[in-house]
Amino acid sequence: MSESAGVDADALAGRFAQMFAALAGNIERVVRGKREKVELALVCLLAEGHLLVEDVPGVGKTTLARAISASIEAEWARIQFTPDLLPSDITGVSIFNQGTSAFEFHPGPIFANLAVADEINRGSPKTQSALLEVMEERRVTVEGTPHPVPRPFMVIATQNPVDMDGTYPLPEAQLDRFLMRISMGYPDHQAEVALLAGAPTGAMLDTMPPVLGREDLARMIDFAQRLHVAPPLFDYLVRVVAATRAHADLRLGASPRAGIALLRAARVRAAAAGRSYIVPEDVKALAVPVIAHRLIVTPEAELRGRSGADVVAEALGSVPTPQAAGV
Amino acid sequence: MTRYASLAVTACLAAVAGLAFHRVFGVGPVAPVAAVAAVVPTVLSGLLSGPRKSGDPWPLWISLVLTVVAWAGTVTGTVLRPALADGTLPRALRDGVLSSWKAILTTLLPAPAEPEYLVLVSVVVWLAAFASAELALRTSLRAAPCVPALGGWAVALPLGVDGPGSNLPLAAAAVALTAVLVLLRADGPGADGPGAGVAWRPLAAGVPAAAVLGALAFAAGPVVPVGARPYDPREQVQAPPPQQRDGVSPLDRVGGWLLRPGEVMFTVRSGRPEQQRLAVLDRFDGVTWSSTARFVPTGSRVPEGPRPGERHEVEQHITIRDLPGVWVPAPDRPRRVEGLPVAVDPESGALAAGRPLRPGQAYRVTSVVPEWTAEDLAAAALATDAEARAALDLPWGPGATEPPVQIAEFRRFAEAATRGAGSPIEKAALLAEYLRRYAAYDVTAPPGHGYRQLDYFLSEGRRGTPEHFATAYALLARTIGLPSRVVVGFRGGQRAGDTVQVRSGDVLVWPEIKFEDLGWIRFNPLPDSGRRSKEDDSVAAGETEQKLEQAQKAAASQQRGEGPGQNAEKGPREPAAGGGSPTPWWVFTSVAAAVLVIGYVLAVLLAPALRKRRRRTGPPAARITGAWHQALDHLADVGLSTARTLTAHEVARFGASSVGADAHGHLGPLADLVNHSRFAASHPDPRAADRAWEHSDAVGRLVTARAGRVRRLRRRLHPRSLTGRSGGERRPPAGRRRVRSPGG
Repeated sequence: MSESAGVDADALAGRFAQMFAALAGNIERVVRGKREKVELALVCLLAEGHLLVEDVPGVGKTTLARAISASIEAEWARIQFTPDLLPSDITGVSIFNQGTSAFEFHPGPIFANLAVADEINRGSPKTQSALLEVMEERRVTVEGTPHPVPRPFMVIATQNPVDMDGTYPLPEAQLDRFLMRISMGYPDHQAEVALLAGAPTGAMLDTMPPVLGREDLARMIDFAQRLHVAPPLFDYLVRVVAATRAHADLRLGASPRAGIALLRAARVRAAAAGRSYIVPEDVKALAVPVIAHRLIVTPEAELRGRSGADVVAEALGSVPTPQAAGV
Repeated sequence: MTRYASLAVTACLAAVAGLAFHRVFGVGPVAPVAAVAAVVPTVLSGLLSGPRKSGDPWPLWISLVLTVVAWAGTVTGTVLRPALADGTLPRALRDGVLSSWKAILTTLLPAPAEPEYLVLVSVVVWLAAFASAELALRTSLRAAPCVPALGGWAVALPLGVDGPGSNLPLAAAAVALTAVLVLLRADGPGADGPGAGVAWRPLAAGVPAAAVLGALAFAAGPVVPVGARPYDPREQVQAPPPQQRDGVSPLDRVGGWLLRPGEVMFTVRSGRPEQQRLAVLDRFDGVTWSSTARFVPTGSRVPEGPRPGERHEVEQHITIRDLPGVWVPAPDRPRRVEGLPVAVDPESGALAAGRPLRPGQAYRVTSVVPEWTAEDLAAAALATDAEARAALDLPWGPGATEPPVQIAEFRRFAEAATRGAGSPIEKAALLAEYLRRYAAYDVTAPPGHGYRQLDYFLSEGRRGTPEHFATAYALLARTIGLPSRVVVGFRGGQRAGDTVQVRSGDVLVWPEIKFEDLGWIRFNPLPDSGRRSKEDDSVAAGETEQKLEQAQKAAASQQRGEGPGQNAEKGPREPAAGGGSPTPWWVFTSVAAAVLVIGYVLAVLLAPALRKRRRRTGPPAARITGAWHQALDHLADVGLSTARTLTAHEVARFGASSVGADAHGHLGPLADLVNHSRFAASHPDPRAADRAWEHSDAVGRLVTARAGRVRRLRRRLHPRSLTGRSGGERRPPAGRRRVRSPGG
């Protein structure tokens, strides 16, 4: 790339960063004290990935989805997973129209820009698997007819890590389709006080002005995925992913899809920082939320309190960065 | 162009290394061999370094094969041409490569310039030149092409450590050439490597500096206090076993020669008559005397023996006539023999030819003849070394189960003869004097020098030839503790024109006693009747012999004047104050330690400065990386060691926590710059590099303010200052803070 092209890319990256910051700031007006989580969710959105939020009820998972959709002029839908939820409740059904004497497809809630799959692990495996196609291929096939979902499209799934009775743990294939897994966590004291003292969240969401249009969002997504990646970083990224596969505490390491997801997310993070290139910090910052939920820890390691996040952190600590020599 | 200039220097380095063999063979034979062996492989490598159609250099194995073929052809056409002519080429080539070093190690230097020996020079220089040229062509290392030449030195120096001449000028030249090579291969500004062009500026300044460095090495070399006696591999080499060089001992021929005194043994042309040594016999087995000499081949030089205070050098041209056997006559201690291939016993200086001597063989021998004074001899104590102890042996005789009775009788005889003598010199002189008066000279006395014959000679016959007088003296001396041996030689002769004919009747046998520091001193127990001139034109006994006898008498009388027993065996003489005293070991140790300390301090202080200078040069990206490394070095001075798993911003955070918040204002932007230079698609501009160095220098100042100059200097003196950071992760010393990535 020529130097002028580099300057242009830097300028565009700066513009990207401004828009990203405005978006994050707008969402933070209602999701207070969670800037880092908000940014991770936006990274996930701009990387065209899906987000798994593992947390207790009432910490703002739905609010986050609504705030994002409001900020980008997008539609959102909420799907409450229960054991008797059917796949067609998600994807939609074809109903015979007596007037036209033809079957008409009635799209389900999954056809929103942001679909919140609340307590996804309460749905039956059959219902959970209804999400596999749409999460990966961004379309729903009903009765042999594919129906594409709108762009942007993002599934924000939640699950309660405390109450596990009557739940169906997500299979590996399902987990692998989530770009990131995060935990919202409780707000800190000041944020919670401000939450109580401020206006009701619901009312604010209704009046929240959009920051970006869908077209702007699509351009940001396209720009981020064209960011330059230096060859040593590919090598570094593969080494990090590969380091999990040989780890003694794991029954299943990270898949190549994990590496692809990490690279997409790192590109967005770099652009959000105003850079037209990614650096090792981007990879390190996103490795745990992107990789950890895809790993399956051995029962012995689990008994010792080890988690996938620990393994990823170890991998990061053992793989040399492709930094200038001497670091 | 740099590559070809480097080749010229590497060829010179290899040639200089080859010239270091001059202490083995002399300059004349070595110079052409070294020159050819240095130039041909260098030219060959240079030709093969040219680009092929593919643009790549030729593979190394092709160069290797071609250089081996070229060497075989060159050495066959030059050094081994005589072997090619007489059909012994394969054997000569094999011996030259595999065995010549052994032959050289067992040959006294200078070694004869035999073709088989010179093959070693050729192969060593060739290999050095080839390896240097390939290193210069295929690598960008600056000094590595000098290393093969050092290998040449490593072969030449041990082989020639005992040889004549000095390698100091060659070493100075090698130092200068090495400096020139390093300068020549220095990266010029903006150059990508040695092949990019000659760095004229450092070269213009550096070549005179290299010349000065070489001159300094030349001037300082002789005064550097190194070990006075360098390591000599010949001391570790077992000389070949002594050959049975002559079936008949010269001592056994003495009786026959005296009965036929007119045979001309050899002729001598010399300005000064000297007593000729023929054979040194130091072992007595109860029946006969024989030699324990371990002869080694020599080109022409004979190693130096004991150094007398006064001496004179004599040169003689000797032509063999009817002298049988392999023993080669020469005056006293020969130093150089030319014209006749000989082997020499380094201990005694006795010479022997490889084959029996033939009439007409001529050679020139240069000898050193000591001139002992009465003072030297009066103060002399008996030698006590291994050779002297062996020279006290009185074997019982072959097959004897009990000591012969004659030994006791000889001891009583000797004690009676030396009664009243105190010092060893007095005993030796008295014993000689006693024998001179006790027995008569008679050439018809039956030969033999076993216990029985000598018992007859001393008890009943009292007539004998020099064989009897000398061997009797030697045995009597051993009985009273004087280490002795017997020497067969010639004295006098008849003048015929400008030469002296030494005849069989001029044969002489004399005993010698070994004294501490003086070595072997000969004594003359022969009556005057046995050494008078027999004919008018005979040559009188030399001046040297007369001086020695007078000195012995004077020394003996001095001892007697002090009273018998009052000056019994003295210990070894104290070394004279001044010139002869060896420099104490601690002087060498102190000087060496001081040189090491100064060199170390200079190195640890200069290395970081040179490293920083190197980091500041190059394209902007390299300068930014250099600034980052410099900042890491600064952080190391506050005890912060980084792991390779950290990112630049993580290092910046940890650095700020160690140095202070102000540092983050510089480390953070510096991390951004280094990230951009490394990972961005666009290249950084020079201003970015300037900013990086400003940040790095600011970090250095903050570190100095934080750690203090004393602490920084102390850390600078640590050996790790010599190493750069580019080698990768470093292990921190105990107590040093180590920053690891969060998961590590």
